[in-house]
Amino acid sequence: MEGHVPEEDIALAVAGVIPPAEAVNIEAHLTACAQCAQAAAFYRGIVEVLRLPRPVDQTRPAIHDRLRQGVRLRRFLDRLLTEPGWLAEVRRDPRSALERFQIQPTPQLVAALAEIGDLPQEHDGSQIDERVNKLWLGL
Amino acid sequence: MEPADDTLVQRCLAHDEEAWAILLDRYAGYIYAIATRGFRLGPQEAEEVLQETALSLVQHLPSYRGRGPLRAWIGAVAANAARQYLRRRRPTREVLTPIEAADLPDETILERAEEVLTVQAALQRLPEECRMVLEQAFHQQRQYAEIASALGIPQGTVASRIARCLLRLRRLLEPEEEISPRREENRSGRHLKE
Repeated sequence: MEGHVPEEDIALAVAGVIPPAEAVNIEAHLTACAQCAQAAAFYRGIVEVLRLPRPVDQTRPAIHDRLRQGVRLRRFLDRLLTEPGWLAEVRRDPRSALERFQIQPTPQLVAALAEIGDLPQEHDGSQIDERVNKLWLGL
Repeated sequence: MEPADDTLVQRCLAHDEEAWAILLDRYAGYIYAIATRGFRLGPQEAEEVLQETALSLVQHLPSYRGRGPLRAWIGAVAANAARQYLRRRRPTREVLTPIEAADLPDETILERAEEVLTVQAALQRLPEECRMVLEQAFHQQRQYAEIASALGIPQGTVASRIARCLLRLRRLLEPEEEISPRREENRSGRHLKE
């Protein structure tokens, strides 16, 4: 078989919009023609990308809300890990402490915070890290 | 004017919520592409990975020392979030493909995501008639009759418009010199049936 398949036909074959008999012919040609096969591979890649789902605008506010909660938790933790006075306050009333930072006091977050509050005075850094990680999971 | 990445990082480290929102919007498409093309996740799963990546960025940004491009660091965090997401999920037949994708190196995953952004950017440079027909045919997966009706064109011309627009997209994505010899040949290209 001589010559090349017109590029438009290759694109249509890849997109699956040509009659089956013609598609079979083109597929057969692609196995023997490196140049047409290269074009087909390119179109397959394009079509695959065009078919992909895209971020949904409607869910973005929910993601931004959670992000804000994360940023506030980060600020909360920075203070918690650097100010002993603040740690004492958090131990006394974790729920109010979270609310002061406009963080939703979810049950998981309050529970994780209670574990930080229960740490012995002479804890090591890894214990804190482990408990801080639990806090992130509580968001 | 949108702030540069390094400025944004400094503001994020100071817990500036607006800066975080800008950062997320700037990289949401990239993170989403890592989930969908790199890990072959569906839309809902990709949204979850996007959300978890956002939190992970907040948690770990202090460890980003600016030694490499922010984009690469965010890509690595997103790939890690996607892998963790897949590990947490109960294995079922449906998730075999994503799990296989999870074994790919970060470099491959991120390259695939970059390709998505490149194609999407090129798509935006096409005329509206092309964007619409490609969008409806592939992203929305609409029937030809629906596309014809929506675009106000005869049904018989939908396929040829798709082909023409795919070709235009290729011209934008591949340097002219790489495909020009083939273009010349195609002008006299013969159908296989001949």
